[in-house]
This record gives sequence, C-alpha cells and structure tokens, in this order.
Amino acid sequence: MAEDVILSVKNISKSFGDLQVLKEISFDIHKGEKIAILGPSGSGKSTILRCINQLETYDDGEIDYMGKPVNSGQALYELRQHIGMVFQRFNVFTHMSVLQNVIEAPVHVKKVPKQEAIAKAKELLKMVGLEGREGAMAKNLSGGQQQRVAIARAMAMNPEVILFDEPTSALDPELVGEVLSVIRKVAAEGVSMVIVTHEMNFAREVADRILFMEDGVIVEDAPPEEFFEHPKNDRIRQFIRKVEER
Amino acid sequence: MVTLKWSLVFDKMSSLLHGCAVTMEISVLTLIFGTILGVVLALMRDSRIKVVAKIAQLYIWIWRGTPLMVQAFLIYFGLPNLGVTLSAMTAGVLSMSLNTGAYIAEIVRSGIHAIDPGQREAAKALGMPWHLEMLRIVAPQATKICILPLVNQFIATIKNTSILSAITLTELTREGTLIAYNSFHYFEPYIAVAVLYLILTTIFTQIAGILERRMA
Repeated sequence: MAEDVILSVKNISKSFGDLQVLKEISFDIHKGEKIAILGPSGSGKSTILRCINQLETYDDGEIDYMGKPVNSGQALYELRQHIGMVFQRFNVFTHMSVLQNVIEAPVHVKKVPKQEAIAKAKELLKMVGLEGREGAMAKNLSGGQQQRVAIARAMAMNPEVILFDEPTSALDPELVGEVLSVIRKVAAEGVSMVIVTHEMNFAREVADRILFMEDGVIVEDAPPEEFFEHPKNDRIRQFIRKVEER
Repeated sequence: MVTLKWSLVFDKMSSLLHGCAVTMEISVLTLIFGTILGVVLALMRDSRIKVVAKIAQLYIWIWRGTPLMVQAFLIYFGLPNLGVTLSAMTAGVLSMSLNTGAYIAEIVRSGIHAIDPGQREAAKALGMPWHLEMLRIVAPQATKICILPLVNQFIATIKNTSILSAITLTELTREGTLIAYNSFHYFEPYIAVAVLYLILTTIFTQIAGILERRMA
C-alpha cells in the first residue's frame, strides 16, 4: 500500500489560543482513494482539510506530498497545483465569466496555452452541466451553478487530490442534489478526494473510508459499511442517528 | 463709492488660464505619483513582515498628521540647507505626491480589504503565488472600488495645490495674487481664481457622479 500514498498527514497539531483544535492528526491518502471526514461541528474537520494545502497554518507536524515534506515557498505553490479545493461558499471569481474562472489557473499558473485550456474547460463545463453558460458572469449564477463552476475550476488543474470543504452546506436544499451528482462524476474520474460533509448517505455511497473526528482527534477510521452498520461506540451511533433525523 | 475693475481680470485671462494649466499639471502628476506611492504603502502596511508594516504606518502617521504647507516649506526652503535645491515645480509636485500618497494608501488598503477573503483563498488553493493573486484577483476588483474615492482625492488635490503658491510656484492662486499685487485690487482677481477652481472641481465632480452611477 505504501507506494501509492499521495499525501501523508503526520501528527498535525493546532491551537487557537487555549483551545487545541487538532491533536496529532495522522492519516494517509492513497491514489484514487475517496475519504469522507465526518463529525460534529467544531471537531476540527474543516481545519485539518485546510491544513493539507496550508491555507491554515499548524503548530506542529508535517504534510508530505509524494513522500516529501512540504513547508512553504516554491514547494507549497507546487503542492497546491496538485491539490484542488472546493469551498463551502464556492469562492468563484466574481469579476470573471464562467470560462475565465476555469482557465485562470491553468493559463496563468501552469502556463498551459490558452486554446488548450479553453478546450479542456469546455469539456469540464459540459461534465458539470454548464454547457452553453461559458460566457455568463460567475456572480450571476445560482449557488449550485457557482459550486459546479468551482468544481470545474479545481478539475482544470488536473489535480491528484481534491479537497471538498462542506461543498453543499451553503446551498438551498433543492440545489444540493445537482452538486452531489457532479461530485459523483468527479469520483468516477479516479481522482483522490477528501470530503468534509454532513451528507451521510452521500458519504456512505461515495467514500472508501470514513474518518470520524471529535474534539480534534480521529476516533474512527473505517470502511463505510463497518462505520454505519457496526458503529464503534455510542457516540458515533448517536451522531449517525442525529444527522439522519434531520 | 466702491468701484470694481473687472477688466483687470479679463486683461490677464491668459495668465489665469496658464495658472489653471499649471494647477492641473501638478494635480495630475500628484495623482500619478501619489497613487504609485499609495499602492506601495498599502501593500507595505499589510505586510506580514512587521518592520515593513511599521515603516508604512509611521510614514502615513507623519504625513497625514502634519500640514501640507509645512511639508512644502521643508522641501522647498529647508532642503537647500542640506545641500538639496529643487525648483518650485519639482518641490511642489514632490511635496503634494508624498502627502497625497499617505491618503491614497488608506483608500487602496480599504479597497483591498473589501475583496472577499474566500476568493483570495481560492486563488491560493489553485497555486497562485502572491503577485498573481494580487494582480489577477484582487487588483481588478479593488480598482473598481477605489476609483470613486480616488476621484474625490483628486478634487481635494486640485484645491490643495493652492498652498504651493506659498513656495512661489506660479499656479492658479499665485497668478491671482500677482494681479492683486500689481493693481492693489484683491477682490476681483480672487473671485476670478475662485470661479476657475470651481469650474475645475465641478468638472471632476460630474465625472465622479457619472462613474458612481455606472458602477451602481
């Protein structure tokens, strides 16, 4: 297994003031693997996700990409080119069109020829169901559409891993489905994924592995069947029941 | 019996219009240099390197906290004591730019801070280094936000240039003063000067209004 490890999270710890939000978190992400991180609010799920591409600093520990530690400077910019991220609040570039959002990083960061980037962007926009909307301003789209643009934008860099930070939590309920079905398609492309989510059924369906976090610690790391059918402890059983009741 | 001699003003209209041109020249140069300085100061002020941020903060504190006229006196009359002699025009543009830069820094900074932090994170997450994030994501959006306050700053600059008449720079106010000195009539030339300033500032206020409506 060890040779197909893409990313290693090693003993990451972080505190906000007196509150320790991450306590020596460690896990590996393998090629093609889909990991869902579940847990109550404030358990540190989003924080650990943001530490992986270092949008969030950490006090201790190490992130390894392809076996090499990544700290800062050039290596960090390169790491980020290989790790896509989809945010809760979409974060599309509002001064740009849909197409410009998707080609921005390939053209200016990766220096892909513009025509090539446009061709690839059109393919991706077709995949996320936004064919024909290339020229629309991103800010004029619905939340679900903006999130699909953001997914295409992340995919355009050909990442090894995509991090999803509660990708449907800011959406109106009727728009959740369209975004989840796009994430399913992305999963089918074979890219590795780490998803922080509250969508239990979705996590169960898409993930190969569930990490359950509580108070800054990973308390369970199991395949979905085991996680949902044979919860390790009462706390997890309670959590599953509570979230499913919503 | 009060007699006003308006012919004084009309006979010297070409001098007054020349004064307007000089005033506009100083104002435009000040806007250009002040904006460059303002952008640099704004970026320094938000630098993660504490010393750099402190230097910018100190600069803004001093230049906004002392009168423009004293700054102009120091540069035009004071610097020659240190062996640096500047023409009135150079000293005038320099003191206006150094002063205005401090104000524009705050305009630029508030423009940058108005940009959605989420979009900046998205840029970082895509592997954009700082300069690309600023150039491609922050600058286009912040420029839009800054344009209106910049036009207002420019209008203030046009009026502030009158202070430079005190360092013998022959701009609009000084042209009026020269007419007054030669004729012992003060009312007419200064009314003419005031009207000309009003015309200049009105033009740019109108432009600001158009921009505001366009961007709303």
